[in-house]
Order: sequence, then C-alpha cells, then structure tokens
Amino acid sequence: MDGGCHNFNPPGKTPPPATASPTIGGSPALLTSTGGLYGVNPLLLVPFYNNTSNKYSVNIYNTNSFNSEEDCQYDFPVEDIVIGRNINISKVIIVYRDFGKVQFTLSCTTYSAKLDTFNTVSRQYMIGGKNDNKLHTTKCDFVTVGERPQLSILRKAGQGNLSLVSVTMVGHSSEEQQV
Amino acid sequence: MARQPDYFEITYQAPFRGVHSTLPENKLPRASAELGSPFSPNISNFLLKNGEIRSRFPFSPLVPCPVGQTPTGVYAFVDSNGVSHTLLATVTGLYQLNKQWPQNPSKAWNSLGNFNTGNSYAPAQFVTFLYKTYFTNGGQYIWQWDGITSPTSANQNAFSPVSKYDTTHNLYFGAYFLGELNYQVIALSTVEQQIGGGVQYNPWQVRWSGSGNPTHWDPTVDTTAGYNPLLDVPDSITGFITIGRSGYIFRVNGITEMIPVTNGVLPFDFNHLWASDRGIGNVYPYTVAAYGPIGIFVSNEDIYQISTSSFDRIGAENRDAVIADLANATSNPIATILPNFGQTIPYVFYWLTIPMAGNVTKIWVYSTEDKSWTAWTEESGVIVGKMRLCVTG
Repeated sequence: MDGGCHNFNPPGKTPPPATASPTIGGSPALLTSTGGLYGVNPLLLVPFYNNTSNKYSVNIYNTNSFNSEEDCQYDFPVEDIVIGRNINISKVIIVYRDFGKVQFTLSCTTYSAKLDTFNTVSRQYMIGGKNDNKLHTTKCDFVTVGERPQLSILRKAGQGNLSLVSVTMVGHSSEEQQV
Repeated sequence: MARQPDYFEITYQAPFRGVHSTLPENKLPRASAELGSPFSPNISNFLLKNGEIRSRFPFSPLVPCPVGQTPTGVYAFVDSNGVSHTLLATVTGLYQLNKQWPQNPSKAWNSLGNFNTGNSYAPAQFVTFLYKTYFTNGGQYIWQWDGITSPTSANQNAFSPVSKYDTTHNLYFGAYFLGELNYQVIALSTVEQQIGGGVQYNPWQVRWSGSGNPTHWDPTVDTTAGYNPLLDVPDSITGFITIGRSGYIFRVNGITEMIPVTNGVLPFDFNHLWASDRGIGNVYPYTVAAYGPIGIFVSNEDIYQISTSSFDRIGAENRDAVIADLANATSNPIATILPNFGQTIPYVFYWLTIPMAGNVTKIWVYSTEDKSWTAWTEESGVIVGKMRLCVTG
C-alpha cells in the first residue's frame, strides 16, 4: 500500500457471482413490508466481540446510568509546590454531585529525591447516598509526605455513579530541604 | 534560619478539559495562578458532563448476533411503506431485527440472505436512496434491498446485486466505501470482476451510478453513470464523506473535492486540494466520519476537522496519545460522529475505537463542543463496527 496507509483488509480472490436477482412485481407501495419495526426507541447500536465468551453481540450504552462496568481512573497533574522540598498533604476536599452511593479510592503519589523512589498512599472512601442530584462536600483526611504530589481517583467497576465538581489538595511545605 | 512551613491549597475544578498528553505531567497549563490545571495527564472511562468529570455509561449486550456470524455493521432505514428496518451485516450475510426480539433475544435476527462471495471482514457500508438501502462490504457487489422483498424458497436472498458495470460481459463490482451525492450513489475503492473470471482491486477508482438510478452503473447503457480512476494522484482512496453539496474523497496523502456540476454526462468536477506525494490525508480507512457540516479524519500527524469553510487541527493537547494508540492498533480503527449519547447527553462526539492487543478496545472520545479528549476502554472485547443510531421498536 501507499506510504503510511493502514488498510487491514485488502481484498482477496473471491468466488464467482451470486445467483439471479429477485424482482418486485407491481408497485412496491401495494406490497407489504418484510418484517420491520414501528420506528421507535432509537438506540446507539455497537457490534461487539466478547473476548471471554468468544461470541458476538450488538451492545448499547445505557445513558440513564453513569455506573460503568469498567474501572474509572482520573489522574490529576503532578504539582511542583516547592522544588526540592518535602510536601505534607493533610486533607483532600471533594465537591461532588450525589447520584447515590459510590465507592472510590483516593491516592497520592509523591517522589523522594533522597531515595529516588515513588511512594503511593491510598485510602478508600464511600460518599453519596441521598441521590438528590445536588452538590455535596466531603473531606478526606489524608496524610502523606514527599515531593511533587499527584492525586489520583480510582472508582472500581460497578461501584456507583461518580461525578466530581472540584477536588482541593490541602497541605504545607516542609521546613527541610529534601536535597 | 529554618524556613516557616508554607500552607497551600490547590483546587482542580469544573470545567475540566480532558486529557493533555503533549506536555510533561507537572507542566500542564493552569486555569489561573490559584487554581490547578483543568487538564489531566491520564483519564480512563470518565466523560465530561457539564464540565464535571463523571464515570461513563455502562456498556452491555442488547441482543446476541446470529449464531456463528461475525458482524461488520449495523444500519437502519425506512422503506416506501414507512416501515423501519434495523439491519445487521455479517461477514456472510444480511439480517434484520424482528419485533419479537425483547421476548426472544436469541432469535432476534431474521436472515435476508447470504452474500455468496466469500468472506469479507471489511466494515459494511450502507446508503439509503429513494426508500431502498444499498450496501457493500469490499466484496464483488453492491446490493439493494427495498424492505419489501422476502427471501423465497427459489431465491433465498431478499436483496439483489445492482452494480453491473459491464452489461456486455455481465460483470459486477463491489467497493470499500459508499456514499450519495447529486442523486447518484457513489462507490469508491472498487473490487471489479474481470472478463474470464477473477477480480481486480482498484483502490483509486471512483464510480457513480446513473442519475436517480442506483441500479445502473454501466456508462454505455446509462450515460449519466461513470467512473474516474484518480490516476493523477499517487495514492489510494481511504474514505468518503459529503458536506453540503460537495463530496470529499480521502486519500492517504490528500483530499479530493468531488463537486456536482450537472446531472448529465461527466456530472462531477474532481478537484485535488493537494496532489503531492506526501500531505494531509486519511491514513486509517473507516476513521473518516461526518455529521452535518463537519467531517473528522486521522492523518499521519494529527486529527483534523474539515468543513466547507474551515480546516482545523483538533488533536490539540492530546494528539500524541491518540496517534500512539493508533500505531498499536491490531485491526481496523473505526470512527463515528455521534449527535448525542441520548437525550441527557446532547453533545456531538467523535468516537474513535481502536482494537488493541489482547482483544480489548481503546476508545478516544472528542467533544466538538468543548474541544476536549477523554479515553475509554473496553477490556471485555473489541468493537467491530460503526456505532449507529437504530430503531429497536
């Protein structure tokens, strides 16, 4: 193929032509349709191969729910608070929309320049339950120390509808230089 | 003297802006000096809804495919009686969804016939013209089904081949891409039967049907039908969309406008936007998608949005990650532009699915409205056809 093209299905040699074509007699408007539907309930249909059952199906996304069947992860940026100085994280404040109970894991990864290693501290939280679609606030007590903290949120598969409006990381920088 | 501890707060807040993979994870642009960056170096299975980050919708089977069949596409059309049909093309045949599927999902699909031309795993292409659907699959035919003709004991196919391009020698052709423009069905990247047997793959060929008559393709019979091998450009066709009154033929290294000029002989003017041997084109067949006035495609070095008056890069902050995933695709990446995911999510998305090692799927979702990218995964399998809005009742 031409440079850069990615055609995974080049045609091969295929068998001879099919049989003669059927014809429609008279006006099609006088004929009844073959099968068919009323034309209601449109859904986004997705042809899908399941790698466990080795079977094919037509799948849909259920847009009435945000409780995905796969793990959800959101990594926040790595923060250079003060270069070369340890950071103490004391709490994380989360504003969320309550779509019912949801369980998630909050993690903070920091870097140790002395040891040249990364350290991750994780805690599991359960929030929500009112299912009122309103904004609520939760405070996650959290203690970790290190340089360049990075928050991460993981909601495991099917653990609830998680909707985050803001996440605030609170802490202070250490007196000691790390390096 | 010891330094005093410095208190700090960093707030990440809505509106979030999606994945940013083109800068280091500690240098992502901030919304302001006080706020953290609204971008993320990594997102998996979250979507942006009203600027919030929200876990995505669950994905689950609606109905199984016919036993032993590999699907290549879904489609829906309305016939001349006003009856809707939801179709499933497989590697070997065509099926339609029956009304009783909720009661008996294992028998949801009625066969409309077999292609009888060997297996083609290329994604099926459909267009509707005057209440009839025309479809092809990279095999030797374009077929037509009117929604009325039934399979019979004498002829098990409700659909029939219509793409005879050489009446004298009774030769047919199929195609990899199909569209409609100027009252004519357009077939591109053709597979043509040859005198004496066998087929020839013409990845540069554009054919159009007779004006108002998609069952006539032989220009010696209907002079408004015709063909144009794009031999003056060095590459092959990888997609086709229509925006407004113009067709856009995507090549590996370029784009050719196909502009209707008449309904008679030579009905189109072909205008290569560029014909260089290296240039912006669509490198992955089936990643071209259109919605109303816009089209989106993937080039070698970015993702582009095209309209009649603009041509924009949209890979933006996330180009590197999308291009890297595409490079690791194990089969055809497939894209669709969705007008919405449902009435509660009325946003236009470009939805790019990439089959990855281990028979899993990576999905990049681009919102044309807030110009953000998020990533989804399907660890349970591979998406094998374009997502389509189809009636189910």
